[in-house]
Amino acid sequence: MKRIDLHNHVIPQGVIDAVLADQATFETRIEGEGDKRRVVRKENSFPLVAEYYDADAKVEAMERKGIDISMISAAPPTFYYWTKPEIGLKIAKLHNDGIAAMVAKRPDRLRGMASLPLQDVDASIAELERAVREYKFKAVEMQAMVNNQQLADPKFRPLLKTAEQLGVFVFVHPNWWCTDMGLDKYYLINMIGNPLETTIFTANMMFSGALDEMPNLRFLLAHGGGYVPYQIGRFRHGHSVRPEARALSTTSPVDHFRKFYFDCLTHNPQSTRHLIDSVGADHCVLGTDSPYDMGDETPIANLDAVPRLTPQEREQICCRTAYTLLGEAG
Amino acid sequence: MVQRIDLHSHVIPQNFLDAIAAEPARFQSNVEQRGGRRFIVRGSHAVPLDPAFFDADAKVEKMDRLGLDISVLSVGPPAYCYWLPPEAGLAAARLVNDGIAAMAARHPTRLQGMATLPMQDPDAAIAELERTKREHGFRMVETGTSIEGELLAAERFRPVLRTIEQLGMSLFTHPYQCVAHGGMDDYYLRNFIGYPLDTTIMVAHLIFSGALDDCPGLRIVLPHAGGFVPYQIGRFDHGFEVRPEAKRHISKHPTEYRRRFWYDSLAHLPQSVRHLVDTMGADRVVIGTDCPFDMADFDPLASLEQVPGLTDEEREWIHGRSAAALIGGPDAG
Repeated sequence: MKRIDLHNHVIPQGVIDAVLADQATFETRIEGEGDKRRVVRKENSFPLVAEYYDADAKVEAMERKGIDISMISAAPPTFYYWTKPEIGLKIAKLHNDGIAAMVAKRPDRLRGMASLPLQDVDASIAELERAVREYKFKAVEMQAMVNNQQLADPKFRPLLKTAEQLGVFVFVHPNWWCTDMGLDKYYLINMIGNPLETTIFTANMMFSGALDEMPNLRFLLAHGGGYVPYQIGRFRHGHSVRPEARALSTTSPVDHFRKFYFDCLTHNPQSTRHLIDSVGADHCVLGTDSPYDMGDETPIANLDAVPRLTPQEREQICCRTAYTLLGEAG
Repeated sequence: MVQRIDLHSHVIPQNFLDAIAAEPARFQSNVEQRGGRRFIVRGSHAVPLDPAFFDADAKVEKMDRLGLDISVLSVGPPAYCYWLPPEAGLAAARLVNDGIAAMAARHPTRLQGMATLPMQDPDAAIAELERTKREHGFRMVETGTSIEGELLAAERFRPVLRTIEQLGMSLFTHPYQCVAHGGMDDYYLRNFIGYPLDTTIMVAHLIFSGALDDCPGLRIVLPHAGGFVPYQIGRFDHGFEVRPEAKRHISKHPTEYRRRFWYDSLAHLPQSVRHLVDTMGADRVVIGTDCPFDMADFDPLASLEQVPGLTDEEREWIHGRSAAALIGGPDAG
């Protein structure tokens, strides 16, 4: 049985080079030398470890964690949706070409996921079509919220419809959008902000009617789906009693639930038990969030710590669900 | 059989409605007739006045229909009045507390009162808290999860929390604001997401700031099944392990604080209540209906029966033993 990680980040060498060449445009510094380099933007910084850009180092890290195959996606700090459209397109192409190159180096162990310049919907559609055509990517990564706009906003609808037609699934990843009061201490910007952004994305997709328009589009939600799997009942009840929640979609939020897939990155075995019981193991996958500090260093041990995990559930989560999403026979 | 106790049941007492109708400018609210129904109105927000808000008999009638024995009455968010100047805030809190006490006095075996406090003035809040305990015998007190944008963990509220602890009362924290912004303006998401979010942010700050270590005996009841905490508490634990800013004020995992809280069962999803019980223990779960708001559970006991694998012992704790430990009475212990 293979063990497949669908939540694993990279920053391809081409992206690093572009940032190094123009640190002012990207408002990003790369400090230090050799294996002590750090990526710094505003108050956020993280170590630029080799597994971000070196396919062999990535596979080495996977070996350490017991992962056979990783689907690699752009790291959220280098989405750069806030830059000018031509810069965004350049970065997206560098991501996609770089991810494809890493996959080509280790095709037995890596799969690629597209990254898009979401500040420009038309360019995103063209780049998604290119990435799928040239690199056969089976998924596309999007931030849950783009420059303070929801993906449920009608302007993104043509792009989501393109993803649906191409048969790729959308990996929805949050990224530090909310610096509001209450989240500025204790790293809550990540600990609460990230699951919150995913939750707000999901609610807007459900209540706006967007999902009704794209019945076949599948989404993979990071970090155990944020808060959705625990409070989906509140969405359902709210939809049944509040006219403003029903205005654009008569479909109950729970009936949209099967369009979503979830990684098991809850950092709590009992919560993963709840996730499996709520959405089914056939909608759960491994997600390590490598190589971030909020990631999971021991994903298999953490899965095995889930109470009453059956061998069938284990196999489903380790590879079967991922194979379905990847369109591979396994 | 254990008495079934609802710790999340709202009122807006008649004397308070009379007061705002008489002085709408002072209380920044009014009571309005719209299409044959009465509403309490503040700005653009209007809540229909179900008789169970102000009529003790109607409240008990609803409890009978739902199979509940005791409700501990807390004022609804439209009447928190934290936004008023201190003098008007204190007047409003006194009116509400006396009104709640009057409702409880009409059905003393069925209804108990929960204090509300003028939190915009912590000194006045402490004095009013002591008064409600002395004059009305209240065993619980309600505050917002934040007060006009300031989190309950803020230093200036610490004396209030310490007094609650010293008086041996239990604190019911209820959201009303949606302190964070972005993406929640439509579809009533400021309630669906904003309410559990406010609770989650409050819990995170109470834990990570060290406030719970400061008040080791303080017992806190969380509505709406604890917001998002029971599902994502592992993310707090992991953050504590890897991020220095998360362990600046505490020296143990956030999970270890989880039983400092009690959680109502208002998840609107039986599987989530199963998770809540498995994570916190049935002795930390209580019935909470949120009556008579539209976001209430319209049949709380039936909802509980749908919880997968619910044992007789778990049912007994959730029906009343957990709550009795907070409010005293024959099933306490």
